[in-house]
Amino acid sequence: MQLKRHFVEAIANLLSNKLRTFLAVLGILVGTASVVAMISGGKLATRQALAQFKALGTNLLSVQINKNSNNSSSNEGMDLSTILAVKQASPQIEKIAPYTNLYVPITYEGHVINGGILGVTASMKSVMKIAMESGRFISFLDTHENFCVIGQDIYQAIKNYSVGDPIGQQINVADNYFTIIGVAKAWQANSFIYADPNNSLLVPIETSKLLSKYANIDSVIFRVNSNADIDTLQNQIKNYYSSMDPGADFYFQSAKEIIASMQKQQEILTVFLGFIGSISLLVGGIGVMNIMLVSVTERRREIGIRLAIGAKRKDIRIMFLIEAVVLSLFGGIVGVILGILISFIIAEAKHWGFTIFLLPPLIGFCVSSLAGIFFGYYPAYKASKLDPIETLRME
Amino acid sequence: MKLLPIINLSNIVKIYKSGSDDLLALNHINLIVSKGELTAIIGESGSGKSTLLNIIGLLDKPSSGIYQLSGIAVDELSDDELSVIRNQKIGFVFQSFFLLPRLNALQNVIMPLIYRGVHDKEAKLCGMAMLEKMGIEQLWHHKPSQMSGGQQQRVALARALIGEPEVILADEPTGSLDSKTGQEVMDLFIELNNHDRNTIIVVTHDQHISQQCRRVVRVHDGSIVSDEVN
Repeated sequence: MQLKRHFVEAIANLLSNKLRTFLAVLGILVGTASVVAMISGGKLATRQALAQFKALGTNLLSVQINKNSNNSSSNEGMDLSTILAVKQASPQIEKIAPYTNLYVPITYEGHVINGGILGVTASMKSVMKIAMESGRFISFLDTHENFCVIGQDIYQAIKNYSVGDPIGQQINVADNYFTIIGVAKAWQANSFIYADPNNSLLVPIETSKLLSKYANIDSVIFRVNSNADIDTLQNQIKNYYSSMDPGADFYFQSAKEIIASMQKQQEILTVFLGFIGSISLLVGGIGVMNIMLVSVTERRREIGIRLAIGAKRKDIRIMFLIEAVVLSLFGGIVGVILGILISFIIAEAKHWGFTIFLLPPLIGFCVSSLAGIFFGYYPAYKASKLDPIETLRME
Repeated sequence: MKLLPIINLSNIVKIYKSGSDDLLALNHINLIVSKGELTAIIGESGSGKSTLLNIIGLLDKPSSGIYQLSGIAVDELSDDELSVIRNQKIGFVFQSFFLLPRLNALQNVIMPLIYRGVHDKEAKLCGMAMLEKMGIEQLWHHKPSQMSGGQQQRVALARALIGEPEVILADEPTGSLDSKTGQEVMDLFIELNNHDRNTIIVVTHDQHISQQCRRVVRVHDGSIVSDEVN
């Protein structure tokens, strides 16, 4: 008997008892939907997390300089020229962007503005890829000047209190007046850089050191040659800085490391979620087996008739097996659609971009049909072993 | 003229094991049925006539003895080989028709051809011809539940005949029908036997039916007690 005919008969048979068919596949449906939704959602989240590095590039290395509390001899830390001189340590360093980060009262036209101060050098613009909306960025000529570039959030805040071009206006920082020389465009936040330019006043690094005695250069971002060996480079920088400032600890982070750990986390999450999905598929599969066993019992007479008119054991087995597979595939297809829908809703809710990935539906289809074959085999085998006389005997 | 034996049973014994007692259902049965015969097997319930029919129909295997079906010794064959022989050489008609309730008349009729691997279109042409022969071609799309008993038994007969079997085995074919419809079905058997030289074995306990058969085999307590030609 041709396979196609088996499929047609299986579908007709399942459609003849719609409610039962639906209840039987509910487990598979939910299992497949959760597997698809979880894997798709996980992939969307990873992509979202990695997108921030697309803008910024991955050839970044950052170092956090922490004062060693046991050693208070050098409270000042390294000065700017010492920090910048690290370039001699390795030719792999392309750009250096040290910065200070401090919080002092900021007011504009008498209104308090919530934000921080970032003391930066001209190189910060290209290292962090800050784009300007208007005006210009801090330049090396601005040393010690009371100039500032305002981040997008600050700009939105002061817009409430003034009309017209912000450039050239004065903003009060810890009782000093700063002239706004530029407005930065919104900068995409990045887990790699702790500074938030959007909510900051960017001032020349030398100026920032005058604002507070706590304004030490405690972070440096490096843009390095993309072929550089990060570990070697880290050691070179660390050795250099340690020799200059023995009283400090250095914590390095590289974009590549973060991406690797993010991907690792994602993999663990995917495996974990997949595992949960598999359990629901297992439960769903048992549901299919249960309904197939009931079906075999109900259709003993039919099996006997078919055997009497020439069906082989194999034909009976395939008939029930295909019915189980069609049943699970039906659950699988609806589950995949539902799963994609769920991942779409998640993506919409979290404002991620949405894409249909090929892999999760594929996994969903394969796993659900495999569940059908696996859990349908025993009932089908049982059906094929029935004795035709037993099944045809008059009750 | 010596007729070709279709069914040749020699020394067939069937023992049902039930606990400590063995039930001797068939006791050394010898029976030869030739091509073109219309034979009735009669006996009370429990006489062994149904067991005999099951063995002839290859649904059951004898405990001992040799059974040749149109020259083939069938006792050594596997389940699947028996299925093929049932499909090609035997047509069954049952007391309660045994049509598949989800399929329409035509789909029921062509089932043996489908299991034989005949293509759908060709099978359906044969099926329609067979329904026409039974006089119910206008009912081809009806489900069994939409047909009367007599119509259902005609569909079952069409299903039995479609594979052009060597022998038709009918187990109480009129048992579920009123006497008028039963007689119509019996007339069909007689017509098939006279006209197409079909070999037919009818198991019945109805004297009125068995009287219409040329040969009557009486079974009692697992043995053949008489074998008469009317």
